[in-house]
Amino acid sequence: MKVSYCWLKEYCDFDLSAQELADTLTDAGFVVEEVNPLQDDYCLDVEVTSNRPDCLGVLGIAREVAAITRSKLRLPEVDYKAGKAPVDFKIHVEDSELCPHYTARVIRGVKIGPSPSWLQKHLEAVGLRPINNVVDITNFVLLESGQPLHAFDMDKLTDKKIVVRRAVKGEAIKTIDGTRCDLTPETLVIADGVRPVAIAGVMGGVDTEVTEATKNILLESARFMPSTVRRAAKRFTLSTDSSYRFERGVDPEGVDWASRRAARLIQELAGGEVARDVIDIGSGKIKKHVVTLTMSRLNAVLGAQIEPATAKDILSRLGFEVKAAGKEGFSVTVPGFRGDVSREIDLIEEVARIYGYNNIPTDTRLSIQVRPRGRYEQVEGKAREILVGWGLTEVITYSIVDDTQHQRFGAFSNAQALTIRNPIRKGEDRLRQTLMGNLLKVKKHNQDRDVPWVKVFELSRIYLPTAGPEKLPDEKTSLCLLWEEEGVIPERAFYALKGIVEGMFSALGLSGHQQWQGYSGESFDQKMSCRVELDGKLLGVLGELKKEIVAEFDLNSAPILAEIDFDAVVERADLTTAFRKLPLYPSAVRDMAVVVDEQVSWADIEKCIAESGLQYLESVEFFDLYRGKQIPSGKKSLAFRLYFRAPDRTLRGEEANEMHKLVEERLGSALGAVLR
Amino acid sequence: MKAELQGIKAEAEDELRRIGSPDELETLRVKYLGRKGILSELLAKIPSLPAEQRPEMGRLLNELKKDITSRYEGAKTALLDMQRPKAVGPVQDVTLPGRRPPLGHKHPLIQTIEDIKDIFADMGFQVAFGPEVELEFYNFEALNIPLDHPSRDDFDTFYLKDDVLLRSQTSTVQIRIMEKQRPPIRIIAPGKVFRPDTVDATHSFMFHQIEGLMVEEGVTFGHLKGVLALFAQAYFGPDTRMRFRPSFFPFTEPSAEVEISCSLCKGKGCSTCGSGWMEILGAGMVDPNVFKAVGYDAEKYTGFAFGMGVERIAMLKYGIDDIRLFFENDMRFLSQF
Repeated sequence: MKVSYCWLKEYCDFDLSAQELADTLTDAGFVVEEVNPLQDDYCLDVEVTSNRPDCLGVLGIAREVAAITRSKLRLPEVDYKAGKAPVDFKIHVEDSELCPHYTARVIRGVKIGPSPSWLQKHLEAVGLRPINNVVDITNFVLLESGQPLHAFDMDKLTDKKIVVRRAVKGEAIKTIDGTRCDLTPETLVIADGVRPVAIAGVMGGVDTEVTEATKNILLESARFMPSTVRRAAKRFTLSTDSSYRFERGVDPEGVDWASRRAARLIQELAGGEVARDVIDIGSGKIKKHVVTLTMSRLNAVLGAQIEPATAKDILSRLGFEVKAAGKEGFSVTVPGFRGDVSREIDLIEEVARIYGYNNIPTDTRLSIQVRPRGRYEQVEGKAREILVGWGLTEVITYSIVDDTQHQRFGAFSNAQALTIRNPIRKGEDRLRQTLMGNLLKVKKHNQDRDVPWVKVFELSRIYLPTAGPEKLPDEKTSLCLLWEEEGVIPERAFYALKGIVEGMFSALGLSGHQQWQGYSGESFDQKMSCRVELDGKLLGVLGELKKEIVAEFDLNSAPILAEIDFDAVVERADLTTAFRKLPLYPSAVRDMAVVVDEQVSWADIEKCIAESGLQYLESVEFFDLYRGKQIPSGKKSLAFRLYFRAPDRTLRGEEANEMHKLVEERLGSALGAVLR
Repeated sequence: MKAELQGIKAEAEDELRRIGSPDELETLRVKYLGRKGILSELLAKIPSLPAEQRPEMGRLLNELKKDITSRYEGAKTALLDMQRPKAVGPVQDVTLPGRRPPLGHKHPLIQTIEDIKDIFADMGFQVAFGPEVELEFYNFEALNIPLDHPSRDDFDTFYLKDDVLLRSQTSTVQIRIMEKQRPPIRIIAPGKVFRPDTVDATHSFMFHQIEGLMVEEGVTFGHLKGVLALFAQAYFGPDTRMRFRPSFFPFTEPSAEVEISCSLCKGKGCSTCGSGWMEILGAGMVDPNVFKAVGYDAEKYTGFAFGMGVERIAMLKYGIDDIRLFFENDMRFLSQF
């Protein structure tokens, strides 16, 4: 809210420069964003939080300043001279829930003209354009008190009556800014005998506004239900000074006060006679909150030693009525303008705010508590260290994506992606179900900036729709990796990334049976893609992209991508370390190279060796794949190393040779392998 | 005599090792191997020994002579090598760069989260997580933000359905945790949040927050100040000063905006901070209505909560001037961290 420095001084004598005032208000919770110098004034831009509508009027701010600076608050005069004429006007409030209080004053024979310069200056100081004396007065009182007012040209109201009701379907109103609003029963309107003349609490209609020709005025001051005004203002995108205040709640006791204040000013500046009677429907009386404040509670919440006298003084200065109650407590009556205060904690905040947060002692005496790191955090942290250590860089991409390609990569869901109703950019409204598309875009972004050979990973959530009754999707943490390297042999990159994934699984102590097999995802090249299962459940996919996809993303190379279900990794990881005794006797090592059909996989060989039941076989290690000269086409040569070891003695050479021979025979008979 | 030979041997070896010039070498040769040298003198003594010792001593003396001669020759070669001009062959250039194993980089936001997390972990706070796609209840109602209330204006939100949204704050995790756990509670909850803001240098529709919550009997506003002061000094440096100013959040009361003295200008005021102070987080005592929503006894327990924007803190810490850099993932940016 814009506040004029000089205007504020009219209600309160404080000895502060504009900048000091700004700092004082900021320290009390009213952040002053800017202090703009005017010709002989300053305009302060004050941020008023949504709990403090009382400070949406200069008087409210003055009350705060008076409380902080211990100066006196001066309220303006509101008495006026009532005429003798009665009111020949009917007001009917149909919906008293949405409009709990409605007042109207009739002022006859006003002379519309420009406002005096002091009034114009006040409005201009806070950026308002003067219009005419009556309209300016309603704006002035709104800015002064925070209570919105509206002046109708009474002669333009049909049937001499006002009805506060819900609009009827089909009704419309043209508001004073020229907007045509089609109304529905959801909106509360002020109507005359035949039509709506204002959207309650938001804006008046152009047909009944005060003009140069206006003679008689109906001055409305009312209280409307905040949510009704909020919905109407949203619906018609008409946020006005009036709706802004009603949405936050006005002071029930201020409705009539503001009306009287305006009537007095109109009489003074525009002449006319204020009718004898006031139409007042509903009540400005509310049941006042009486809240008990105990000093022990106050100091227990704040961790301070504030004296009862200090607390009492602060609350009294803010306009609360404070009476002693009990041994060390107070019974505090809340003024009408402080609708935000209804509980003890609200009072504690008020005391703390004016006492000064910075005067509350800082306390670092905490009990010691030690808690182990959570499993997810541990596994995630370790995985991250491993990947970064192996040369991959971590990226973070947006969860909201467009609808073009990404769906085709998803290893974990082919369902229709979840969509956002109110995206900021059209088309960018999907929640990702895979990180792969985003990593390809990272690759492209870097490629366009001449950064070659990207090796990246992302560890973030993907959002998978569920078929069940759950309202929330299955949020899976996905680990996605993209790897490319210089050189012409694509297998190199494939096995490099596969090695990283396998190595990470092993470092995380993944339990269960991992099985790698061919994969034909829509976007993957079938020849060089695979999926890995953990005990029969999909754990992830890894492979080279199809040429078309590479072209579609305009990439200059075909990277290898992998996407892993990281939740499953966390679930099956085992970071405990169990010591195994070092072997006492040396191992016997034998190399073997066999020629087999192309169809025979390394997994077949491993399995065959494992099933041969050799007592002293410790491990088998692949080391070479060869195709070419000396190997018939349709065949390949696989070389590996066998480690034999006995726990209780050194194996003799002949024993190792025998076992080596056995492996050879076994591979020959089961897989047709021939020693090379 | 045997012991004497051993002494001579050790002495000769030692002296030969310390030879620095051809003259010294020649002096040694004369001393041990010359016609009137030590060995010759000893040889001359052999006939005077008892007959049964002579062959043994002769053999030992011969061995010693051989040994010293060979050492002498070695020393001579070494001396010559030293004096000869150096041969120009392949020379190892130690100024060539070493072969560095590739090292990746953690994302700066993740590093920031980890650093902050570690400081709070030292104070007994445990990491907690919550869903990013959230029920409206956890994002609003349970946090004391009623429907159709202006306080919602501060939390513009992406909606999927009427009551399902992308969380606009990590405070949702407070509720999720308190629903499951009884006090004492000390948690820190990092994560992504979403708000429909148009992207520019300081705004992003997706960003990260870290939420903190501590609930125990006897927790005070003073403790809130203490915990945050310890954090600020650990993260921004021991000279960091902190100040609190009243604010409003629906889920805390009293609420505060927390500022620290600018780490660049030490609070004097500069182009980054303006006033010398930088706003880094919002905090406050947990509102009794929030305790009510999760079934805690607000008379028995008190607690505080705080929330900070990770991007903002990383930007302050590293002097980054554009929030978009975090999500473009340019390797030239990421490899700086």
